[in-house]
Amino acid sequence: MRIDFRARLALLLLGLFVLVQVPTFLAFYYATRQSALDQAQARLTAGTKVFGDLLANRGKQLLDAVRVTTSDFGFKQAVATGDIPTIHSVLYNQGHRIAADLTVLTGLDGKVVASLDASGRAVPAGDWSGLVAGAAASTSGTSVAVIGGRPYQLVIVPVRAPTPIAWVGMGFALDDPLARTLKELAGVEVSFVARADSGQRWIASTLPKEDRAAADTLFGAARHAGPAPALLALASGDYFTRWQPLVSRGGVAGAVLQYSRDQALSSYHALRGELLLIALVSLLGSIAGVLWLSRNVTRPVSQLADAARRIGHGDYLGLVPVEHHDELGQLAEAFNSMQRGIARREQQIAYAAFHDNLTSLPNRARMQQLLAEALEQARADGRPLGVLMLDLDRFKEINDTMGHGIGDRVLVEVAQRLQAGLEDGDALARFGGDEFVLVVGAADRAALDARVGQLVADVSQPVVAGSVELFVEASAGMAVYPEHGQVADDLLRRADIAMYDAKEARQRLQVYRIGRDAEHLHRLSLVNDLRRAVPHGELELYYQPKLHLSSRRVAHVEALLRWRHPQHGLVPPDEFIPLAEHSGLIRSLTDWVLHEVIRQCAEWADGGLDIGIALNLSAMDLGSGDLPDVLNRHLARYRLDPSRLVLEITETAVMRDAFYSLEVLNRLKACGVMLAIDDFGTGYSSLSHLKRLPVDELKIDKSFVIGMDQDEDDAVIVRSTIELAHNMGLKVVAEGVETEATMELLHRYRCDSVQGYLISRPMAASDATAWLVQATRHPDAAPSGTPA
Amino acid sequence: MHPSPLLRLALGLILTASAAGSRASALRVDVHDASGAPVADAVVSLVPLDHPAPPAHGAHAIMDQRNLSFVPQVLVVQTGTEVGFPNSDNVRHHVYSFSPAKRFELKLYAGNHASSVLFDHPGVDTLGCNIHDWMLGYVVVVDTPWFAKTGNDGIARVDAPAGRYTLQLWDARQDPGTPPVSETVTLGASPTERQYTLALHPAELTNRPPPGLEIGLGDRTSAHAH
Repeated sequence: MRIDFRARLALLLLGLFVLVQVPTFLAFYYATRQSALDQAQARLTAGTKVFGDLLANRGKQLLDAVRVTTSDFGFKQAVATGDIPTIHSVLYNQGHRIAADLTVLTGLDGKVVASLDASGRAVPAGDWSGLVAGAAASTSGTSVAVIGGRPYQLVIVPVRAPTPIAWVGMGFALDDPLARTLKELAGVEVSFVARADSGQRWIASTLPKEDRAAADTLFGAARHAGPAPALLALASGDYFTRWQPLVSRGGVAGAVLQYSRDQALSSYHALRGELLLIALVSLLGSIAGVLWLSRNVTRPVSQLADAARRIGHGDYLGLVPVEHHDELGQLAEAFNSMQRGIARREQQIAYAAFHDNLTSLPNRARMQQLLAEALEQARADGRPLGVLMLDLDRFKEINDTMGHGIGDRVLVEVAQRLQAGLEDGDALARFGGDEFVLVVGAADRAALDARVGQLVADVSQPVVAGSVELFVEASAGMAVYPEHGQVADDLLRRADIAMYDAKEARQRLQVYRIGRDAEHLHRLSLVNDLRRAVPHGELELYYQPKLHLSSRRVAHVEALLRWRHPQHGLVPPDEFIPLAEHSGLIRSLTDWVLHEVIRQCAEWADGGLDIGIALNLSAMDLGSGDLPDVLNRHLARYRLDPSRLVLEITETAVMRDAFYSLEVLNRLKACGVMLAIDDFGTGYSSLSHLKRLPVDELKIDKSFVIGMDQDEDDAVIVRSTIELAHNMGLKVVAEGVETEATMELLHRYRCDSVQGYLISRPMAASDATAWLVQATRHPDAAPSGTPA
Repeated sequence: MHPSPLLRLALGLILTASAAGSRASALRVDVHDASGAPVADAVVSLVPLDHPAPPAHGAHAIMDQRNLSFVPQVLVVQTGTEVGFPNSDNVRHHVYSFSPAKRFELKLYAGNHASSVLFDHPGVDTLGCNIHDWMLGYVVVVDTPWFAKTGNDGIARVDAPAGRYTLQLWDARQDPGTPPVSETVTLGASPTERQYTLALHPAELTNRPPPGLEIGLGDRTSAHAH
């Protein structure tokens, strides 16, 4: 079980309180109790003394009373008559006067003359000679005697006339009423106990009835008690007990004086009750106080804990109340200041998390939310929503050539332009790099198209950065809710696809075409498959011969890459090469091709076939600086003459990054290989630029060659290109030669080599080998068409 | 000591002795207590054995109440003597006797109006005053005219005719349980002497008023003498 701080504090304080209170209480409790008991014993002692005094006083009073009685002349006269009836009557009369329980007249010798009880009846009084002798010897005049089994306080006085003529004894029973009277005066329980010589027992007592049965106990135990009060257990409880012997004749008599222990403790019990009540009240008070205190102490802590939890949950609105100016108050202030700091930083972080640093536009993550909201709105309004993916063409070029500062300014400018075209409910985000996403709303599809067209057009305006005016072209793809997708992810992906389509189609804006998604997915899966194409041996090279027109010899073949896909069969290069370029796989393909070509070339050379091989490099290959090294390594491995290799680079690839590609081309050239410009005529290369390239050969694109025997313009282009190339010292290869007429024309234009179906279709390595062996043996009978 | 009663007593004795004959014999009795101290007011009487004692015709004696006391404390009389009880004090007295020998009760008002009681039985009459508890007197009644009281020297002298007598000795402080001295003596020509030692109690009552008590004290006799 977890005990929280407040409970611990409360327990500690309470514990301390109890630690102090309980011993105090106990000490007080026991001291009081002991005091009550001591007091009881003291009362008993005092009571005993009072009892003794009372009894003695009573003796004196009785003595006086009896003396008065006996000095009555009439009484003396009566006694002197010796007349028994007279004596009886006078004895009764005098005895009754002073309430004697026993009245006895004896002669001077102690012989009983008459004895009466309280009601005047003659009763036996036993032998009084001893009593009388005792009385004569004693000065007190009173004594105790057990007569007829009962103890009496006796007063025995002489009847004087004026010398003693007789003895009168008056007995006062030590009975219950006397005990009660004495109890009232002495404040202690009084019991008279006696045992006559005859063995008869007597008890008179103020004790409850049930205790009288214990007369023997009282008689025995009390008599043997020492001077100190003994504790005697009786039926009605425990009593402090003292024994007060009464000197007596005719038996043993004594008074048992007792003080009830329970009674002594009763006031103490009341006190104890009050004490307990006080203790209870003070305990409750302490609990309340402790709870209040601990609450007061811990409440700020709890508030801080609550605040910490609240802040943990991201709620920065509340403030911890600063109630005191102590350490806790300082802590609370520190908490509040921390909360403000966290809130501020979280805002910054949140802003940074959802915004692009450079343009301050929302970023991809934020766009997901904005788009979701916009979709919600569009769905509610029943309006279309355009999701536009836009990027800048050749932005990398700007960055590389002009520096990142200029590139950033271009991005900011584009962002501002796009932003300027936004309306309420639209959204704009930068996804990174030069990629922007717009969410554009409109009343209907037509209005949407108009707006989007305007936005893209606005972007494609020159940007002035410093002294430079840059022509910025953007390609945009758009997916439209609801026709192209219902959810943000679909729309974004399809806009992306559309944008790539726009790029490929060299259009500013491409609206997503339904189904492109599947193609795209197919391409994605092809990319995946392409990764394992090299290790699985799914790639192979086909070779297409080039015929040298003047010598009618085949001196070179062009290596063409084929991918034999396990499910889709042969995949055309037009399809997978762009995929490889986009996915970065092209380098591994190029490496494989380089290796395979060099190996094949070396093999043919070893087999006596003096054939050079041309292979195509991708624009991406020019971007990687280690291509010359790889080339050198393979060449060295197969000890191949580098001049047998022709590396073909498309005109567009060369133009894409003219500076860098020039450097790479120079390094390749330094390896000793031949370089050719492929597909010449499709790009927009300037002649001056071309002049600086270390190329050896131009390959005229087949689009010009195929129709040149029909189309005069194409023929002119081909012819002038050949002349131009020759003027620059370059050899010329024409591709796509399919007819004799074309070949004849090219021969006439002094084209150096031709390549096409007329010569041969591309062949697998083994077929190519056979074909080449055949061709070199019979150069004039060069086979045409593809071998079976 | 007041001479008057003694004088009368002596006169009486002389008369008696002369009446009995000329051969008078003297008895001297010396009484001491156990400590050897002389015992005063002890009564010695001689009761003739050989002949009856002569009666006490017209004999008279006085037991005065004076100074809240009986005077004398011990009065010895022969049986048949009338004893007068005057009151010489100026307070009342209430004299009584519950003794078997003679029971009486006299209320004596202030003033010397004497009442008298005839003591006609031998024996000791103990006198008390119901008003003044300390007063104690004895009238010792004997059947003989020959008797005497010891003086302060403890000596009593009795002159009686020669002959045999029963000598009786009585003292108020004698233990009642002890038999009284009773001895036969023969008086002859020569004086007879007897010595007795008595075991006595201290007197319970002194017959004297408590010291310092002046109430009622007065000499009525002397007052009347004027």
